[in-house]
Amino acid sequence: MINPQQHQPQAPEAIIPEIYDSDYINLNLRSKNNCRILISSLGGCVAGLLGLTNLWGFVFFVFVHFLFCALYSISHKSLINYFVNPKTMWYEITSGMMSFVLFWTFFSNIL
Amino acid sequence: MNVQEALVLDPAIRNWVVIPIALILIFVSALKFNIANLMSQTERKQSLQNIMELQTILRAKRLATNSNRIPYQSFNSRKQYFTNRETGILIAKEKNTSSNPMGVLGNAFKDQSGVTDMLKGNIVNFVPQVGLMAWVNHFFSGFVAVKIPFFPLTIRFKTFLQRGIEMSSLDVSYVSSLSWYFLCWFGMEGINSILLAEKYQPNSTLYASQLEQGVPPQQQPITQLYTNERENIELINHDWLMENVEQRFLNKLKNIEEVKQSNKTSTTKSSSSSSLLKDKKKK
Repeated sequence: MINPQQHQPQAPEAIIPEIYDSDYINLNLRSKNNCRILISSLGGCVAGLLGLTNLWGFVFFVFVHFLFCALYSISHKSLINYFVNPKTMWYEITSGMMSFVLFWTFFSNIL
Repeated sequence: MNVQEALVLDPAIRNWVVIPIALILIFVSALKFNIANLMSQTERKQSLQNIMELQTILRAKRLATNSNRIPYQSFNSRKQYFTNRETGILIAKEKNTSSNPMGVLGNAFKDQSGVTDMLKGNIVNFVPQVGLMAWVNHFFSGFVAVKIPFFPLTIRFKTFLQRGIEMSSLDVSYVSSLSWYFLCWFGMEGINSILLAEKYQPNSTLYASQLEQGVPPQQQPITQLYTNERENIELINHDWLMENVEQRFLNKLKNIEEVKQSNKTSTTKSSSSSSLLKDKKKK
């Protein structure tokens, strides 16, 4: 007798396990990333318009990031149904960084 | 330091340098995306035979990984289907392709097409970047274009960020147009993925993506993969996980109930004994 849980292959986190449909997981990840990029570029616009400089801009970015994560997990109740590991969202802080910096620089120079 | 902070950039620079560079980067990336699409449309046509072979291998692999989850009979029938001496599909294919001398050559051709595909992708990505960099460097060098709002980088970056501006006393947060170009390049990637990405339809791409995942390295001829899979399946020591699972489940339930009941009886006993004690006290 073998316990079925013993036999389940321990897949690393980066690889999507076979029980998930990888296409739909990728689709969900993409829609989430699009949301994140939009929000962070909007945040960049706001930071540029407010005239934040130096460390305050990055503090604002972290704030925007957590705001996005909180909003996303509030508006979609059961994230576990759509993502392999929805909690990794909170750590991926760098993914919207470049667009934030771009819009921040752009708007602080335009004014 | 105070003088530097009061440095005001000309609005003409804003109108004729900063905004045009950003816009042109967007246009170029759109063009690049469309050209790459056009180039890739002619490729990616696999023959029916090839697809069938790949799917067979995928199916055999799936059987090998999940063999313990199906009853012995079904496993045996599948095993027969794959590895029977006369009719098994893994063996039949072997015989067919071994008589075909063009198999290896065909594989070599496929290899080449893959390499050229990659080369095309690289060229489409690489040439516009270099061209734009040369363009920006040629037309917009020699003056400060942008003041970056975040903390100034260290002095070491000065030669890179302020290329063409030979002023040793200038603050590092004032940068030339080339730096603005790099900033745009990295920042636009996210925006491009929103603006340019084609409509993603899971059902239509399901097939293609599965193939891409399962594509074996093409250097190996398909017959070898088939023999590998066949040996894998033949070596499996089948042990069904769900053997008399109902009985096991019932046993587990019984155990749980017994534990619960024993708990209940002990509590009732204690309560009754305490009530007895109270009665005695009353008396």
